Amino acid sequence: MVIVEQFLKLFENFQYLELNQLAMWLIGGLLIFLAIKKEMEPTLLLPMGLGAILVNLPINPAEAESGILGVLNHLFNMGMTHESFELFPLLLFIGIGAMIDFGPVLSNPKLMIFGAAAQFGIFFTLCLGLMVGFDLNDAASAAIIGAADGPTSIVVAQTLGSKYMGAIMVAAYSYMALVPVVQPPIIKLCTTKKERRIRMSNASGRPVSKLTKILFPIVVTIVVGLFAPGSVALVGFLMFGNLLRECGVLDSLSETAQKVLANLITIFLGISVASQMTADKFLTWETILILGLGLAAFVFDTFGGVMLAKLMNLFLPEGKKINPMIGAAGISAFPMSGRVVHKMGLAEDPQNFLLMHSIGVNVSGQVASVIAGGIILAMVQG
Amino acid sequence: MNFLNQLMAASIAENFKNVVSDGLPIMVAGMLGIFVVIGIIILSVYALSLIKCDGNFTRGLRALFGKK
Repeated sequence: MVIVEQFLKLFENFQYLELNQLAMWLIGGLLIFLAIKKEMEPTLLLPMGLGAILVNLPINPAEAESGILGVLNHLFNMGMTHESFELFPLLLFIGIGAMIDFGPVLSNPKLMIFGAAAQFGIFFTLCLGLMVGFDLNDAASAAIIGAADGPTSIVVAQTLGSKYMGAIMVAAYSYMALVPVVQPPIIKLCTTKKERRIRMSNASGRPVSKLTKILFPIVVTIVVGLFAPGSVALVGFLMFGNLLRECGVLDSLSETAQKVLANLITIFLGISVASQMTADKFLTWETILILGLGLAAFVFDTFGGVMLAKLMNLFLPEGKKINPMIGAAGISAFPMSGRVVHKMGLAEDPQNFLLMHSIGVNVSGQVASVIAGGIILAMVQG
Repeated sequence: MNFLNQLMAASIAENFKNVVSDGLPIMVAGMLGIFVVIGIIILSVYALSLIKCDGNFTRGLRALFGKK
């Protein structure tokens, strides 16, 4: 009898299993599948996928906080909450800064304007979010998915106290990986074949001195600090990483930031975000709305960038016209968006090499998206 | 059903009011703000590259202010 009782104890947990937890296992499995099979942002979707399964395992509610959910919540509180200064995304930005070469945009600085235009989707989606009934903070948090930049999305959503952190993170990282699927149809819809075949000279780029590369992160930090103090932490850490890269005397630190630091933080970030993916928080209509808003943000970002290039072309003389597709690379999903535009250019005209321009715009989108995050914070909080 | 329709209409009107009062001002001011900040960064980069354009700091500074 005792043996049977002891054996049955193994099945005790089954009584706590709910249907929505099973649904979350499927969602976790889907994220893992996309990460491994489709190689979509595997560094984040994989830990988030397994994490989604972990936090939805059946457990006696009384013991939940001492179990895996407690551990992940602790990790989340240590590095992701506003009280912990969103330490994980900020530290990740040091690594990202160390990875970015601002050379292409420094050699042709006017391309940066497309980085600004391609943030249109964020602000437009904020209005859409309000229209579907979210309050201002949640609408802004959903809209910032359009920054196409995970760390910025986390910082803004956390600072604004959004209840939909898990959905925002899933949307931010999945759409980033889906850039090659989302952007081309929008670009094609907004441009004519003739426009897509516009060739841009690579000779317009000027040589960039080492001093310029060193001064650039310092100048950007000061300018952003003065005008958008809300994003100074993000920009400061991004530019600190870049300064490590460009200074030329801290190669080992730069390499550590690019590899060890970025990898370590990515592991913690992915798995701790999963703590927000419990069935009761994630399986709601609002999650579906947020996924929809995120998609809208990406679509209108692309639209904004392309439209500015088309507008500029109205005033530019023949031979100096801009291929409007490069405007779409202003979305900061780096470097996918730049590559997508380059490939589309080649598909239209095998001799049309847009890579230098599109990567330049793409890099400036990285800076612009952080600034947009800071502006959103300043305006929504203020 | 009628009540539900009225409720939805009221909620759409309320949400639209929020868009006009909160969303649109943020959208316009935000886009303007981002263009201004990026514009200043672009000008700074031009200034930086001009200063160092020929590898000579003094000559570059003179070029920045239009002197030969």
